Formats: sequence, structure tokens, C-alpha cells
Amino acid sequence: MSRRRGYSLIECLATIAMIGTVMTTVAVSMSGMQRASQRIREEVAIEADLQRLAAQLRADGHNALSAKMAGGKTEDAAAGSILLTLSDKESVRYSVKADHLQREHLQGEKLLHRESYRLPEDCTARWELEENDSVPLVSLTVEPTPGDAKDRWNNWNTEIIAAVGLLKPTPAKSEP
Amino acid sequence: MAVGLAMALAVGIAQLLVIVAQQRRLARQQEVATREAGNLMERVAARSWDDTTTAALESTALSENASVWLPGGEVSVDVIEEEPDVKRMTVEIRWQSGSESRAESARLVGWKFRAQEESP
Repeated sequence: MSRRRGYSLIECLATIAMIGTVMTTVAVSMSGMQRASQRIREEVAIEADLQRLAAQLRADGHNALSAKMAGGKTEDAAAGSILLTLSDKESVRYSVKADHLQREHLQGEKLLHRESYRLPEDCTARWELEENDSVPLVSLTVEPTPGDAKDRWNNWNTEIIAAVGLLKPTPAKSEP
Repeated sequence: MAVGLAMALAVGIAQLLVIVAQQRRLARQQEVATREAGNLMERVAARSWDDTTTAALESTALSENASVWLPGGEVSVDVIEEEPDVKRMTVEIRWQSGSESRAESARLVGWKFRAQEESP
């Protein structure tokens, strides 16, 4: 009659250690993938906002009669804005806030509509108005805050350019 | 057995992560190229009618940021006068992607009308 042999303590410990190693590997991998997934979701959301902003800025720019800058580099909130004059009464103002960019449609001083576009974290935004022989160009540059560690994937160095007055009968003139 | 399984799992996950990283890079490159093409199109559209020609736009180059993201990046702007008062402008950006150096491209087409500039 054969007698069934059991497992030694060493065998049990070795098996437990191996299972532990496999479980740890899986847990670490899953955690890393979840973090990556979260970051990608954020990037996609920001990218979608930037695309929406680009489309709106260009539509406003093409319809504008003129563009006027207010403020320069924007390292803190409530700084840096640009005003696009659509007609005698209507205008659109884009302002950079702490973590978003705000668009306000104005009729005189009366606010008709306001919307915001999310900006990437740890980034600053600045406006530039480029004079041209025919049509001025407005550009918004989003770049990492100086001094911050630059992660290649989070390097949102982005520029959006819009021509001013393309759809108006006469070429637009920018105001200094 | 368990070690073998763990190794196979690790290799599989590593391959998956490499593929995800490659796709992520390609997606970002497409975004950068598309935005760059949009910016270049605005610059082209802002030029005067007479100045909007293929020859005048031959020296068009990628921005500094786009050059960083698009290895081997090249830009071409093609202007064709379809009708006497209509010009078709094509901005095309090409670059090499991945270790296999696969050619990628992004293209944007716009039209310019002379009457728009000359009407009173």
C-alpha cells in the first residue's frame, strides 16, 4: 500500500514566495497602467479643450475688425488679455487666468456670454500680436512654467495662431 | 513553473507598455502636426494675394516646438490658382515616426479668394 507523501515546509514557503512575486508584479504593473491611463485621459481632455479654443479663436479672429493687447507675459492670474473688436458694439475678450483661459463676448460693457478653456498644469500662457503687411496675426503660446521639471509628455509647448480680419472687406489694423 | 509564468507575464506586460508608449507618441505627433498645419495655414491666409505663391512660400519651416516632436519633419506649401480669383493652398507636414522610421503626414487644404481682399 502506497502512502501519499505531503509537502515539506520549504516547498510550501517557496511556492508562497513565487506566488507573492507574481502577485507583486501584477499589482505594480496594474498600478502603473492605471496611472498612465489617468494621465492619458487628462492629456486628451486638455487637447480637446485646446482644439476647441483654436477653432473659436480663429473664428473670432477672422471676423474681427481689429485686435488690441492688454498685459504681457502672464505668470499669475488675471494677467494678459486680448480684445478682438467684432463691430462698433461687439467685442470678444480672451483672458488668461490661473489654470484656464476665459472668453467673454461683450456688447459694449455688457457681458453676453462667457466660457472657459482648461490650460495644462504648471504652464503659463502669453499673447502676442504680430504686425503684418496685410493681416495681423494673434498668437497664444502655452509653455511650461520656467523652473519646473520638464517631463517630455507633459511638455505642453503649444502655439495657436489666428489671422485677424480675414473675413472683413478691408484689411484689419491692429492697435498698439 | 511559477517562475516561467511570471517571466511570461512580465514580458507580455512589457510588450504591451511599449506598444502603448508608441501609440501615445504617434497620437501626440499627429496633434502637434495638425496644430502646426493650422498655424501655417493662418500665416499663409494672412499674406496678400500676390504674395501667396508656391515660390514665395518655399522657405516655410516648422516651428521650433514642432521640430522637437516631429523627427525629420518637413513642410511644403503648395499654391494652385484653380480659377482666376481662387487659389487653393495645401499645407503638408511629413515626418518619420518610430524605430521603423515610418513616414507619417498631416495635410490641410484651404482656399483664398481675391474678391475678399479687393472689395471696398
